[in-house]
Amino acid sequence: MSGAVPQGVAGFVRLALSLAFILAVPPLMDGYSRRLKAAMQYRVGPPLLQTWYDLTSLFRMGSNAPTKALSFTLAPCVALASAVLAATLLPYGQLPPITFSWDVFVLIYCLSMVSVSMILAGFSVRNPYANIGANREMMLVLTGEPVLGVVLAVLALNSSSLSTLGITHYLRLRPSLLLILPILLYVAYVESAFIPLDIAEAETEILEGPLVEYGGVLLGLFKYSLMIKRFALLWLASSVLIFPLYGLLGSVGPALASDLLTFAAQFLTYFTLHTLYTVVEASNARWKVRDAMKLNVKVFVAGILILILTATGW
Amino acid sequence: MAADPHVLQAVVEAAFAAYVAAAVASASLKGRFTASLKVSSALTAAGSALLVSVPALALGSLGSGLTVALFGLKIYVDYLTAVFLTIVALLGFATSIYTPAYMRHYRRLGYGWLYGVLHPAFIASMALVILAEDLLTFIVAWEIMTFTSYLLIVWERDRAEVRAAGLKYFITMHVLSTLPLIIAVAYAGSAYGTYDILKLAAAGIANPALYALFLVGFAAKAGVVPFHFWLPEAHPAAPSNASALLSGAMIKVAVYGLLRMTCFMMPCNQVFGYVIATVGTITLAIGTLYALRQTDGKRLLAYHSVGQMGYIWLGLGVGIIFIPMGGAFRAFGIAALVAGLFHAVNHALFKGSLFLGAGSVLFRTGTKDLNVLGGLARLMPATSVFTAIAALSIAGVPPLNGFLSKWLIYQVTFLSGNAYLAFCGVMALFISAATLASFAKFYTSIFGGEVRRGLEGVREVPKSMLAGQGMLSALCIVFGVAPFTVIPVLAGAGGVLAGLKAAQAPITSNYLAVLLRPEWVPQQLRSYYMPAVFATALSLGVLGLYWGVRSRVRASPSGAWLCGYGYMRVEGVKMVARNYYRAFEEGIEGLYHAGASASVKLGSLATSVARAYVRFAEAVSRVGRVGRVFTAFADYYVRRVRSDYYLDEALWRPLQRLVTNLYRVLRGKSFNTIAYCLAVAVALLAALVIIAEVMGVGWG
Repeated sequence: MSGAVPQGVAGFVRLALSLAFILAVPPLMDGYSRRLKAAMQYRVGPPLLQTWYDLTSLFRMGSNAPTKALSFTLAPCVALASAVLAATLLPYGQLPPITFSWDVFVLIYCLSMVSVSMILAGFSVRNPYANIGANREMMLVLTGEPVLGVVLAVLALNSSSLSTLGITHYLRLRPSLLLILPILLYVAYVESAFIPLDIAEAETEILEGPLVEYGGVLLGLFKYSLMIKRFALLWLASSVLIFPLYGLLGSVGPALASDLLTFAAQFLTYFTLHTLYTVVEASNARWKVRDAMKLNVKVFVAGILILILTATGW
Repeated sequence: MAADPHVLQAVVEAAFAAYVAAAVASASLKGRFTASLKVSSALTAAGSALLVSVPALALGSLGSGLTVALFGLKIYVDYLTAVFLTIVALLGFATSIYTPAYMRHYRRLGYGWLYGVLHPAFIASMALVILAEDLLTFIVAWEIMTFTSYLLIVWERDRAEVRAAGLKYFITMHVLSTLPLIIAVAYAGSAYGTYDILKLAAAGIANPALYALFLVGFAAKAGVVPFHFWLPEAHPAAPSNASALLSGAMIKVAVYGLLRMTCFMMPCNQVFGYVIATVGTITLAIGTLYALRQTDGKRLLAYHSVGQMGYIWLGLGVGIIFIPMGGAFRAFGIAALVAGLFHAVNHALFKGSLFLGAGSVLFRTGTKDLNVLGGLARLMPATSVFTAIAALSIAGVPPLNGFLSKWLIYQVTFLSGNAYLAFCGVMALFISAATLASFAKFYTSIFGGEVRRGLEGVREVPKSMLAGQGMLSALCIVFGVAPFTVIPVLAGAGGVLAGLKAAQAPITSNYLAVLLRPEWVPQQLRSYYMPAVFATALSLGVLGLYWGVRSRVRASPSGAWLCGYGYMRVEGVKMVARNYYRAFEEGIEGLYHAGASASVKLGSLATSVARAYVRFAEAVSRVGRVGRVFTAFADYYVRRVRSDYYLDEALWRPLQRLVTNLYRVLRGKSFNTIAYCLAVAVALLAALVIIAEVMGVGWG
C-alpha cells in the first residue's frame, strides 16, 4: 500500500526535504505578505525575514503561565505537532513524503486539532478576551466544517477516492468540479483566518483572543503552527487546482524530473494563491462573527446544490 | 479450532450464577448499606469478567454460531453476540468497580442493598437479551431489562422530577417498545410455528409489517429521533453508574435486537437500510444540536447519546443498503456494518467513562450544573485526565477510538458513490464539529480555569472509582491505536449478517494499518490510516516540544490579566457554560423552536396515550385470569398509599399484561411453551417481590 513511494535513503531524503520546506516556507511567506501589504500601502515594510526574526526572538524568551493547568503549556505543543503532521500528509511533487496515511480526513482532523488546542487553551484561562476568542473560533469551525465536508464529498464522488493522492491526481473534469473549486478556495481562505475572517484572533479588538495570555516561546509555537496550518490549507488547494497536470507531468521522463516539475507547478500555484489572498486581506476589514457565519451557511447551501449536480453525473 | 460447548456453558452459567448470587447476597445484607453493595459489586464484577471471556472461549465457533444451554434455556453465541456481550460485560465490570464507593453519595436514601439487587439483575437481563436464541426468552429478558432499568432511573424517588422521568420512560417503553415487539414476536411465532430465531431465519421469514414493528420497537429503546424524548430525562435521573450502563450498554442492546431481527432473522432489505440511514442522520443532527445548549452535565451527555446513536445507525444503515446488492457491494456493506458496530463499541467506552466522570464530579461537588463548576483539573487530576481522554474521543480527535470509527463512517458514506449517502456523511462531519464544541464546553467548564468559589475543598475520588473510569478511558486509547484488537471480531459480525466470511470484507486491519478497499476504487486511490504510527509520530512531536519548553514556562505571579477587574469573582470574568455558543444557538433557534412546539403539541397526545395505556392495563387486569392476583395486590397497595397511584399502576400492571398476553399467545401450545410460561411467571414473581420491597423501603 505504500505504492510508489521511494523507500530507504531516497524516501528519507524526500521526507527530510519536505519537512525542511514545511518548516521554512510558512514564515517566509508571512514575511512576503507583510512586504506586499506594505507596498500596497506605500510603505517600505519589514525585511522578508522579519517573521523569522520575530519567531526566533519569541523562541528565545521564556513564558509566563497565568494558570497551573498543564493544558496551558501542552496546547501550543499539540498545535504545532499536528500542524506539521498535517502538512506532511500533502503531496510535494507527485507524492506525499510519508506513508502512514494519505487520507484526507486524517489531514482535516489534524488541521482542526490546531483550532481545538486554541479553543481549549482559550476556554481554560480566566481571561474574558481569551474566552471570547475561543468562542469565536468555535463558531467559525462549526459553520466552516460543513462547507469543507461538502467540498470533500464532491471531490470524493468525482474521483472515487478519499486519499490525498486520489483527490489530487484522479479528478475528472466536470461542470460540478469547476463549480466546487471556488468553494474550495473560499473554505481554504476562511479556515486560514485571513482578514476579514481573523475574527477569533482579532488582534486590534480582543488582543489575539485565545492567545492573549500567551507570550514568549509558547506564543511562538502557536504563531508558528497557525502559519503552518495556513500553508497546509493553501497547499492542499493548490494541489487540487493543478489536477490536470499530474498525469501530464507524471509521464515526463525520469521520476525525479516529473516530481520536480509537479512540485514547481504546485509551488507556483501556492505562491499565486497566497499573493491573491494577501491582496484580498489587505483590502478588507474584519467582519463580525455572525456575518461570517451567515456567509458560511450560504456557501454551504450552494455546495449542497453542487453536490446534487454531481450526483446527476455532471 | 471449534470451541468446547461444555466449557462455554459452564462459564456462562457461572456468570449468571454470580449475578444471581450478587442479588441474593445483597438482599440478605439488607440492613448494611456498605457491606451489601461491596459483596454485590464483587460478585457482579466476577460475573462480568466471566462474560468478557465468553467471546474468547467461543472464538473458533463464532463464525458458524454455537447453541448451548443456560440452565435449560437455549442461548446462541456468534460474532454478533460476541460484540454486544463484550460491551455489556465491559461496562458491567467497570461500573461494578465504581459502584461501592460512589453509592455512598446516596447513603441518605438508605436502601443500598436494593441497588445491589438491581445492578446485577440489569446486567444479567441485558446479557440474556443478547444471548437468547428463543424469541420468548428474548422478550422476557427485554421486559426484565426495561423494568430493572426503570427502577434504577427512579432511584431517587423522593424527587418529583425523577419520578416523572421514570414514568415517562416506563410508559414510552411499553407503548412504543414492548407492545410492538410482543406483537411482532407473537405474529412470527404463530405464523411460522416456532420462536427459535435460527429456525425462523431458516424458514425465510420476511414481512414488511415485521420490519416496521421491529423498527419502532428497537428505535424507541435506542432513543433515536423521533422516539428520543424520554432519553435526556431518564438517563441523567439515574445514579451515574446506572446512567453509564443505560447510555453505554442498554441502548446498544436495542441496536443488537435491530440487527438480529432485521438482518439475521429476516434478510437485509435495501429500503429498510435507507430508512435506518436517514433516521440515523436526522438523529445525529438533532441529538447533538440539542446537546450543544445543555448546561446540565449529565443531560448534555444524554443528548449526546442520542446524537452518537445516530452515527451508529448511519453506519449500519449504509451496511444494510449495500448487503442485498451482492458481490463487491455486499462486501462493502460489511465494512459499513463494521463502522457502525465499531462506533457502538466506542460509544459504550467513552460514554461510560464520561458518565462515570460526571458521577465523580457529582460525588465530590454535589452538582452537575456546568454553570457553577470550574477549575477542578488541579483538585481532581486523574478524573480530569480520564474525562479529557473520553471527551476528545467522542469529539473524534485522532488517534483515539472515536476518530477511527468516525473515519470509517466517513469512508463508507463518501465512497459509497451515492450522493445521498455522501450528504449523510457531510452531516456526520458537521455534527462532529458540534460534538467537539459541546465537549470543549463540557470539559473546560468543569475542569478548566481557576477553582470556583466553594469548590476549594474538593478532593480526588477514591481509587476504586478512578479504576472504573480509567479502565474505560484506557480502552479508548487501545482501540484507537490498535484497532486490530477489535476489527476482526466486528468484521466477523458483519460477515454473520451478510452471510459471508468476514475475510471477504474490504476492510483490512493488521497491527499497523486500517485499509478500506472497495473494489470500485482502484488500488492506487485507496486511502488508509496507520493509527499506531500516527499516534507515535504525534506523541513524539508533542512530548519533544513539551520537554523543550517545559523548563522555560513559569507561573505568573499575577495570574491572568483581567482588564483591571481582578477583584471580581471568577464568575464575573470567566465565560459560563450557558454563554459559550450563544451566537450559534441563536442561529439555529428555529430548530429549537420547532422542537419546543412539537413537544407541546405531541405532549398532549402523549399524555392521552399514557392515560389510555393505564386504563387499558386496568381493563386487562380485570379480564385476565392471571391478573386477578395482581389486582388484589394493587388494590391493597392503593389503599395503603393513595398518592402516586398512577406511578404504581404504570409500574407493575404492564407486567401482568405481559403475562396475560403471553398466556394468550401460548395457550394451547406444547409442553415446552407451558414450561416457558412458568419461567415467565417465576421471573415476574421475582420482579414483584422486588417491587414490594421497593414499596416497603420507600414509604413503609
